[in-house]
Amino acid sequence: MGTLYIDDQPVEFQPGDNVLDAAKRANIEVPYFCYHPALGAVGSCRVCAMETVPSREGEQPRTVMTCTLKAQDGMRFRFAQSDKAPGVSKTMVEFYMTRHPNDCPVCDEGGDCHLQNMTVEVGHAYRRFDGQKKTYPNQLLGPLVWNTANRCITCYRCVRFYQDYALGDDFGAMGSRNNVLFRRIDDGAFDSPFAGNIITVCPTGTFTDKVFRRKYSRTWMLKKSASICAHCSVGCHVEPGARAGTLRRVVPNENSAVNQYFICDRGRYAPHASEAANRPLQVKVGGQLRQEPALAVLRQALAVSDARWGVMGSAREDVVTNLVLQQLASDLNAPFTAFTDPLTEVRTKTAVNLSLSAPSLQDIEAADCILVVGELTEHAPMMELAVRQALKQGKPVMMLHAAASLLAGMVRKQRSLQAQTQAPVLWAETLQKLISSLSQEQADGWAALLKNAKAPVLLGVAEVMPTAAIKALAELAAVLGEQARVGFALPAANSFGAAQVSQAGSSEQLLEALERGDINALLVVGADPMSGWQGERWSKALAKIQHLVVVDHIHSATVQAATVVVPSATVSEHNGVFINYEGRVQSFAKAYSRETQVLLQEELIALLSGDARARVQSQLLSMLGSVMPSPGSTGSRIKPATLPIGQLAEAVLGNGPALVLQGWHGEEEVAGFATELASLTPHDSVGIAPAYAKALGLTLDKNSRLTISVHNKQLTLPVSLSAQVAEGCVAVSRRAFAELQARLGDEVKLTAAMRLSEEPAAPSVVAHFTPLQGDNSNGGLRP
Amino acid sequence: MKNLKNWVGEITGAFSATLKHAFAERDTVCYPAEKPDLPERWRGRIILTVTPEGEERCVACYLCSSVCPSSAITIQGAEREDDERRYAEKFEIDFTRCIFCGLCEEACPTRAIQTTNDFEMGASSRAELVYDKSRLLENHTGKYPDFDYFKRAGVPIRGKDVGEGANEKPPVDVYTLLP
Amino acid sequence: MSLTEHEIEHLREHIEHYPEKRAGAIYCLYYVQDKYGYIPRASLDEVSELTDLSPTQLDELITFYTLLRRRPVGRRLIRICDSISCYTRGSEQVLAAAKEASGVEFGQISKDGAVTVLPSICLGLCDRAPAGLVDDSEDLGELTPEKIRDLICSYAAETLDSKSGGGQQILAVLKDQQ
Repeated sequence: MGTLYIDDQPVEFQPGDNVLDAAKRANIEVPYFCYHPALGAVGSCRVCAMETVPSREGEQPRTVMTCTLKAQDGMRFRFAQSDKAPGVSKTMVEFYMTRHPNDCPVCDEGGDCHLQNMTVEVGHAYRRFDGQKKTYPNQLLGPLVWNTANRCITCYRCVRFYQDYALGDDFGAMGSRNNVLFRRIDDGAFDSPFAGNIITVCPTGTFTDKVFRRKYSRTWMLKKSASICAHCSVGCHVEPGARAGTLRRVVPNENSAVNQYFICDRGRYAPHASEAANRPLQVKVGGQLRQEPALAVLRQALAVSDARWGVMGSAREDVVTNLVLQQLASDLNAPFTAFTDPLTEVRTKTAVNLSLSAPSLQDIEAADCILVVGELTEHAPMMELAVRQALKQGKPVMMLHAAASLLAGMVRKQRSLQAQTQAPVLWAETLQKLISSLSQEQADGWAALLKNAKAPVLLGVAEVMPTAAIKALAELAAVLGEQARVGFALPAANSFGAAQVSQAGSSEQLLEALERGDINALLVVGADPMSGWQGERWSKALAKIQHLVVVDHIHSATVQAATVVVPSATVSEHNGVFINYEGRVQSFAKAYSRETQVLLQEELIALLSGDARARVQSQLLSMLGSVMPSPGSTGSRIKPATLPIGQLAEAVLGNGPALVLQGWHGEEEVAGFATELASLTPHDSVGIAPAYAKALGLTLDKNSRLTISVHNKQLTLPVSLSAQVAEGCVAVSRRAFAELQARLGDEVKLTAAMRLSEEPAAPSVVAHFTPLQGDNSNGGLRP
Repeated sequence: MKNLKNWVGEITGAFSATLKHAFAERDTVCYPAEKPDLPERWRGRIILTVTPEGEERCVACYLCSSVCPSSAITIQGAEREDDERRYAEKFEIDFTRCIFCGLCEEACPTRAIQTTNDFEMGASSRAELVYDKSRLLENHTGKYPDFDYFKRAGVPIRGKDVGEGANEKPPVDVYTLLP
Repeated sequence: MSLTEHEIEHLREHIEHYPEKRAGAIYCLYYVQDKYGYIPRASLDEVSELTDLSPTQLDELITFYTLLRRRPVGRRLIRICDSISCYTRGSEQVLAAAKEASGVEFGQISKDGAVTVLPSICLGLCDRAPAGLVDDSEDLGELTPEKIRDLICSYAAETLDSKSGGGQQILAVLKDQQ
């Protein structure tokens, strides 16, 4: 804390602030381009100029770049009063504008453009330079990001984010001097799960949102709200923007305690699933579309006389919905669960019970030693971005995983990262060994790193970790002492909340009741049991019942099998509360209403009896504490009582290869319906380590294919040889799991199948830009 | 005495003015038999114009609809299949709301939206006064015969790649061998 | 186009001399450039494998430095200085003569694949201005239009295999261009 003076006006600053930060905080409008609070100052744009006030006799005033100057007590600057500084800013902006195209009317950034704002702010209005404009070739960057290189002002924010902040390496600054161009070596989509953020950090329209481009609206015309991302358990703050009853874009909403400035590509593009062509938007009864209001149809459907009901909530629906459904179930005297898979239920609840001191993203960034168990990038990308911040500072990061992961792939470049592959069934044992070596005087390897750390953080992925491993990781944290924090990436946005409302073993009980025929009607809200881990059992059980009422906003397998489909609202279309992986209660606000009538989750409460409504109220209060956080605030964390968990047998170590999940960072139940994002889904393959394939007596190369056999099901897939897959494991995608009707850890038989033809597939090129290429051009000059 | 003088002066003055105008040339015309001669910058019925090449000038930038004080303009942009050139898929002006202030014309960066000196827009229902794009778009350049916005913008469109616009250098080539 | 096992072994050994693998990138790129006359796209993947820099990061490096190139050149690369000392001593005429003798624009490969002429910034040979540099190794001094014409003619007369490596590839590149 301290005070500096700008134009004789006292300005308070916080520790670590630079002069520009302090000025911004005091609402002094200093122009700037290259500075970004998360990316730091490089002083390359030369726009944030101020003039120093000489403090001693004989000293001359100097023009300084405020972003590169650390704020100190008693500093004095002239900004508006200065003769020179505004001129410097104005000249610099004029210089940038000499080659900036006249694009504003056709530029997606127009109206929401930092360059536009700064140009107006410094008062540059007329172009005096009448020479020719330099131009720069555009590059096709896949379905998510749109590039218009002419608009670049070379502030380097994009590369500083992409390479320096997010540790990506497939996008860079090419050329030198005034021929700098920001591009990838080859056209195509980015590898990084955080690439969408270059749209946010770009102060001009050089990088814009391609999905938004297709349904463009000026940003000031959008209806916006403070919302929470519903596509993983981190609960990032986002701001959906909608117009005319349709979602147009999602951008990060700046906040102090969760994701701060950025979101991952899943969070940015998965919400576009709400505009999927096959989204249910009308009530459907027995396959017939109806015009009636959703709530009335639901009430009718629940009133059928011969039904013995079961009720299923969802971990991707908010807390209130699940509470209401729980009470509805008790009104109907029906079993209730918010989980579709007993194993996931057990793992989630175990993780939730042990997450009371879970680290926030900032805690992870500040950690001095991190142990990651499972493929974190593929389950909670933003949590992994926080890990990358620690990694960047050279803090040791250790990773135990079974399938290929982007984080593990960085092991070659990041010296402080160590990755070890191992079959998930062995994780618990490894962690126990780590615990026992911690107690020894001469701890070495990972144990030594953890022992010497002052703020170690342990992160696990609950969905793929065996319960024993989850417990072992928490035990490890306990052994390390109070300074250690353990957190788990949970399977869905509200898994924490869903765990609070479901009784022990609830999903198994519901499934068994269905299988026994105790219940003959099921109400499903926001869940898709038929394509989850227990898809086969659910499909069989649900085929027998007469009433399957499904409330959802995606065209899931369960929706397709339903007798009554009621369209529901997406997260941006209603109000609600999520509890994230650390137990942080965050509420989100509705951004827009759809033109067709969809069921708002909070409307469900109308189905309840008076008593039940009161119970929902009291439960909500007891669960969330005294006050509901307002949308946009980062809420407070709850520390619920330990949940009872049923017993469940888990996969054991077998002799043959075990199936593990090969995740993808853009994958999630709803995200699969976002066309543009889903188009980047990697091709299905069976991942196997070359050494392990050899040990199994399989000779494989990149054109080989393997047939996986499990429970009388077979699937033939191309091979992807990867040393990142653990020994004793074969990694396949969720789709392959569903097709094989297999579960995590199932033992499979592998047989060699017919090879792929050697001829490469013809490339499909859709470009109206001339691609810029090094080799096959005719030399230095353009034709 | 002074009052009386004023009173007489006013009466005679007023009568003389009346008499003068009774014999002066008429400004009113026998509309509709005779059409009034309106200045070129009259703010009448709003139209959408095209470039000299016959392409729609409107790029769906939403500036006219944003500036419109009576919210009479509704736009939804779309993109042309082959070159991503944005155009107004839907363009509606509700002339029951329009106050003919001309701000839309002033805001238009591509000179697409222009006011004309046609004011004969009578209709028998309100719905008829909501003009859709087919009624707004006219196949001429309006007041600006030579203006083509895309020649001066930096984005590539059909027939004009990056660096081929007016006053532009060919695109930078980072792989060039030349120093 | 790929490096032989022997070459890869050599590069690997060289890289080991540095505290960080990426420090060896420039050496590897020069090595590839010496072999092919330029750095083809496929080689970037190989160098990337050796240095742990991604192909994009290698490309950042190549496009930053003038002496590394992603485009093929003729068997002989002639740089002629056009900085101030050489300019005052008539480098403009020398460049014009070189362009005429090669028959193509600066930076392009002459039709017979023999030469590529490039203007260059100061070569540090101001005492012998106008100066030039052949294949980034042989220096030329006191150039005149006649001298440069003779030189280019003599290069055109060289047999294809007189310079190791490049010959066949340059012909292949020229063939692609036609």
